[in-house]
Amino acid sequence: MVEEFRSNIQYLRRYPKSFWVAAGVGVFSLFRRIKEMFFFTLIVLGVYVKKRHRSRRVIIPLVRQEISKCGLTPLPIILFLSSIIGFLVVGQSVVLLRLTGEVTYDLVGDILVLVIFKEIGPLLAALVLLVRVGVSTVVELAGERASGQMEWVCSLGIDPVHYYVVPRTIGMGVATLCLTIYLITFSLLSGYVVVFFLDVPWKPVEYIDQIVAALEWKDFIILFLKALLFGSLIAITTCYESLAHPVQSHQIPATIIRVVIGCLVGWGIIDVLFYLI
Amino acid sequence: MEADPTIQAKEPLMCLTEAERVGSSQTQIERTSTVRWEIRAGERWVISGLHASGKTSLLKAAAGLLALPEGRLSLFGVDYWGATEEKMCAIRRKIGFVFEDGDRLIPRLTLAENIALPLCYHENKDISHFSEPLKAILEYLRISSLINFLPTQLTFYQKQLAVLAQTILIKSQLFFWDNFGEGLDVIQRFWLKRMLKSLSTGIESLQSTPAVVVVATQDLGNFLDFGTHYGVITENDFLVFQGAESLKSSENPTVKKLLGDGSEN
Repeated sequence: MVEEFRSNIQYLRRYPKSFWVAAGVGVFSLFRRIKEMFFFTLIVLGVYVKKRHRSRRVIIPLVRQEISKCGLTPLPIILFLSSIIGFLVVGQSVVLLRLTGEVTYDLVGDILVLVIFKEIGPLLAALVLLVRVGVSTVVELAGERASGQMEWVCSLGIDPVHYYVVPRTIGMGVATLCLTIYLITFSLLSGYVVVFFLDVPWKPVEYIDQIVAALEWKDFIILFLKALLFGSLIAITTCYESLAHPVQSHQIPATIIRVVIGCLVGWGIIDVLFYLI
Repeated sequence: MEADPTIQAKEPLMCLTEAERVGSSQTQIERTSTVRWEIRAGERWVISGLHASGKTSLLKAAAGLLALPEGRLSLFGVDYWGATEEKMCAIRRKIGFVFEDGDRLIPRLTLAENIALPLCYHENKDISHFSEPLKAILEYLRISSLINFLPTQLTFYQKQLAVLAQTILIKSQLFFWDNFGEGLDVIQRFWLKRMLKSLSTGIESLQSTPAVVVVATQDLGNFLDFGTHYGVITENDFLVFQGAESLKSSENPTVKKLLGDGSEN
């Protein structure tokens, strides 16, 4: 019965009879994926908690490897983007404040913290990680699953979630946090360069004071949690899409699109939840 | 790994019963007959059948890699599919399996890391802890010069030797080899067959314990000097023969066909 219903949904997904059928099937598929992702996340958490002290000499090097891969590979593009963002945010703020007749520029610190620290920082770092590492992870894992390495690992009594998913989840979470810190630091530095060239009468200490004054202690906690969750979500989504179902080589592009959309939706939900909290 | 003392000597290492519907998933062939297959210590099995008869599925079902929709699998005296995760894991460590395509090593790990992976994982030890026995095994198999090679740098034969090395290292008690000989030349097949015979009696220089070897092949004629027991998958049955003589005297058309095809002896 359930199988028949699923195959009907699969058929309607490919050949929808009308817009409403397509919309209904889309909503149904979305809820099903969210449900499956939720259970997959619970499995990963369960395995991590249950096996956190097991096979550390194999798992910890994998975590380190993942942190170094995810935290260092996207560093050049993060530095480039952070310079551009600092330049644009501070530059546009100063120009806007001048237009409104503001002479003290006190709001620049608030704008910087609101835009870069609270919103763009973790989101952009996660987006870069998704594009730079997440996509290649999908190809790598789907390839390993298709060529039977996962079956071989299972035949050796190794838990594939423990070996493949847990190191990536921790590694990508920590790497996103690191990338966010780099991004914010370099944005603020490039922001000061703009302040200097636009003849805003601030010394470096005053610039830092403006930013510190706009920050609250809870901003750091939110930033930390957001970055960790955004990164972990990339790992969970990539692993779920490439390992939970068999993926053939011609399905890899569609899988990548699903991962990107899944991450964007997930980040949106997490962002809104943090805003509401 | 030490042998499980709770298992009596005469108790089968593997017992597959009422495995209805075990069959090739790719070809959608399902066997409707009841299979009863027992493997005991000291035996050497050759499983044969025509193309797409379900050899791979049967071997995977017997090794606990394919869940049985119906029937029961007992491995080392434990109901495998009803066992806890810990017990399943302990059983898995006693079983070696060479897959049909043989090319399953993890591409980012070196040959040594691939071979030692299960021991490093289960015993929570560095690879350096196993370097001595690993080196001895690789020297015995004549692939010690490849120790730091990645799987992409190895030939198909060398990859199969790597899995054999892993079986010796982890001291598997039950070793399955699916579609033996496929993709190998005559000399390589001869050498591997000799290695498997040594494995089944125990290799003294490596202090390896005797393992039960189960080989699946379509080329039954070349294995008449190998098995102590033979299993043949026919159209609607699983026939078991003790010794090559009883196999040769069988009047079953599938057995005759398998023995008549491509014998090199």
